[in-house]
Order: sequence, then C-alpha cells, then structure tokens
Amino acid sequence: MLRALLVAWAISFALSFPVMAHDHAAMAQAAPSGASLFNLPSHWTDQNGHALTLRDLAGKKSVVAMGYTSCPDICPLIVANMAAIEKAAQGRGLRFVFVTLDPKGDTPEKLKAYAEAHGLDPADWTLLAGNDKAVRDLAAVLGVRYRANGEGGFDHSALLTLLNENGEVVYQKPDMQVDPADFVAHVPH
Amino acid sequence: MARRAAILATFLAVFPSALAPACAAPAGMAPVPAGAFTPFFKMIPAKGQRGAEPRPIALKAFRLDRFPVTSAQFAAFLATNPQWRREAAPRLFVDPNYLRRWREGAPAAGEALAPVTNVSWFAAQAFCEARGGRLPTTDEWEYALADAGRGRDQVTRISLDWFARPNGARLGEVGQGAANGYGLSDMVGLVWEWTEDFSATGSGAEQRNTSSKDDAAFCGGGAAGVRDPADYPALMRYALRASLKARYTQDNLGFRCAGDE
Repeated sequence: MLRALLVAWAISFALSFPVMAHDHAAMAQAAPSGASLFNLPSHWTDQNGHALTLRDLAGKKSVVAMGYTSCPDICPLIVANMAAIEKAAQGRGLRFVFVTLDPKGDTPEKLKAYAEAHGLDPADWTLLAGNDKAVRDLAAVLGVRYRANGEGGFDHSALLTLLNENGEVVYQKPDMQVDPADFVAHVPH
Repeated sequence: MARRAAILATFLAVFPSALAPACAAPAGMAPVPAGAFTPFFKMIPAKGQRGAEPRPIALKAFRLDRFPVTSAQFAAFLATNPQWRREAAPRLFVDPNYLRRWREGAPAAGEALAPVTNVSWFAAQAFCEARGGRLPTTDEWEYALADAGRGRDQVTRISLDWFARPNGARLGEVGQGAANGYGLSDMVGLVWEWTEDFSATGSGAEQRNTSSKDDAAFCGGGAAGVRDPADYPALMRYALRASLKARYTQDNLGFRCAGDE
C-alpha cells in the first residue's frame, strides 16, 4: 500500500512540472482582466533597446513609478525608495519598472546610463520609454499627474504602484514617506 | 432595443449629416487661429521663492468641434467600435456609471442631439482618435473660450447662471445658444468638457509630498496661485479638472474633439 502511494506521489510530482509551466505560459497569454494595465496596447522600448508591451511584464509582481532622468530632486528619491523596497523584498521576485515622462530626452541609451549610474540591477529593473500617447495613457491609468514646467522638466506626482502578476493594481503609495517594510507588507503572497 | 440601435447606426452611416444638430449652424470643426495664451496658474516656485507670474505661451492654429459631441455621434462610434460599449469596456478605462442611461448601444430616448455624458477620458480620447483627431489641450480649450477677449462678461454670466441651476435637469440639445467669435457653441452652460491634459491641473509641488509644510504647496493649491482670483468660473473649471481621474464619468461631463491645422 505504501509503495503504491509512493508511486502515485512520484507520478503526480513528475507531472506537475509541465503542468505548472503550461499554466504560467497560459497566464501570460490569457486575456487580461478588466482592471489590468495589460489592457493598454501601448508599445515601449527598454534600456537595452528591446521593444515590449506591458503584457511582457506578466508573471511577476512589479513596482512601477514614473519620472525622468534629468529630474533634479524628486526622481532620485523615487528611485532610492524603489531600491530600498528592492532590498527589503529580497527573495520576493519583484520587478522594478521606471517609466520616463520625458521620452524625447530619455533615449534607451540615457536610461541605461541612468540605471548604471544608480547601480540598478538589470536583472530586476526595467526602464521604459514610449511615445507621448503611451506615456499619457499609462499616467492616466496609474493616476500620475504631470505637466511640462516650461524649463525642460516636468512637475509630476511621486507615486509608487504595486502590480500583481496579472497587471492589476494592488497598492499605491502617493508620497515620498515610504517605509520599505510597510510597502513590502502589501506584496501579495 | 438591439434592433433600434442597429437602425440608428445604419441610418447614421447612410446619412452622416443627420449628426448635425437641429439648428442651422454648420457641423464639423471651426478653425481657431494661432495666438498667445496666458496660463491660469502661476509657475510653481522653487522652494523659498515666490510664485512667478505666468508668461504668455504661443499656441499654434488648431481646429475645434463647433459643438460638444452628441449622443448620436457617440452611438455611431459605438456601432463601429463595440469594445467601447457599456458592457464591453474594461473597468480600467471606465467607472461603473459609464453610459449609465444607455441600453444596447443607444442613448436614452430623446437625447440623440444632447451632449454625450457619462463618458470617461479614455472613451472620449478613443472617439476623437477614431475620427483622426484628439482631445484639445487645456490651454487650447481655454484659449478658444477666451475668444480673443470677446464676450468675457457673457461667458461669466452664462457660467454663473449654469452653476446656479440645480443638477438633475435634463440636458438640452447642442447649438441652442449663440456661437462665439470662433464659431464655437456651448463652451460653457451645457456640460463640462474633458481636455487631453486635464491631469496637468494639480500636478504641482503639492503632489510631491502630501505632508509637506512648504509654502509653495499652499500657494499652488489656492486662489493666491492663479492669474485672476476674481475669475470664479475659471477657478471652477480648473478645480473640476483637478478632481478628475481618467476613468471617471459624470452626468454633466462631455467633450469635443480638436485637430491640428
């Protein structure tokens, strides 16, 4: 009897791997829920010059913020807060996404240089540039308010958004008073 | 009801001129000439500095719908873009009140020539893009309303009369009032209107740190930070924009489209 149970367990264990892989692929391809950011059809380019859509973020939880690399004061704080969350969330498999509000100024090369200058791990960090409409639409779904300040920069919200694997917003932190441990506590298991 | 929607869509496809309002005014867009516009808000000052007076900015010539988009026009859009029907639009883009009085892709009876309302910014943007246009920027919209200084007192009077009317009254049809100097009707007095960059209002220093004690935050959020504190209707327009989110809908919030010259 014990032998039969062990065989059954071994078979089910072996079968579970392809099933899990299949489910993961299916999840990435399945139609997003009505609340998912993956409904945005916008196209983006990352810091390595690779083209992607928001659906390419599926399968991992993401921390998303918007800013721009020549931003003198608030954006370095946003990135520093994201880095602190990254440190506090080690082992949780979070992805960190920084989207530029200045697609004309922030080329993929500039984004890559910015990532390297700030020591952002390319395995965890994705920096995105899109066209004006892509930026405007993403800012709209996130609730990021912004405007050109007439001096080459932007006034904008400092907003951190946590997405689940399906691109749905699970938590937003609308200011710079970020407690990394508290933020990580909102990451769903 | 589905049959009624289909009949309406077919009728509009065959007789697009039916989309024109009942009045004799020409439909479509009016040209708005290039000019200078002084933004309503002062520049957000650096910490410890006073807010700078807004400087005039140059606007290129553009085109703007003569009237707010009507329910009939929006019904025609839905017929060819069913993904924006009430039952199909993702809730990322619309709130639960989106087209709340519509059924089967058709507006409530008798409202075909009234401005379409209960539409989100995303839906309004999709409508304009489907026509090859866009939403006007806030500066463009305000510049068009300013009408080169013509009729300012009239705009104020119509606005104040409108604010005094209780909510809930049925919206009238577009084009009942006189057009301004650019040929634009119903800019105020009928519905509020979405603009492309509505969320630029409220994006100042106060957004950076909600617990800041910085003086600039208070100046940026109050009447002291505007060009003309006596312009109450303008304060109301900007306050409304600052209160909106892109998926919000309201019974008295519509839109019109713009295009580049």
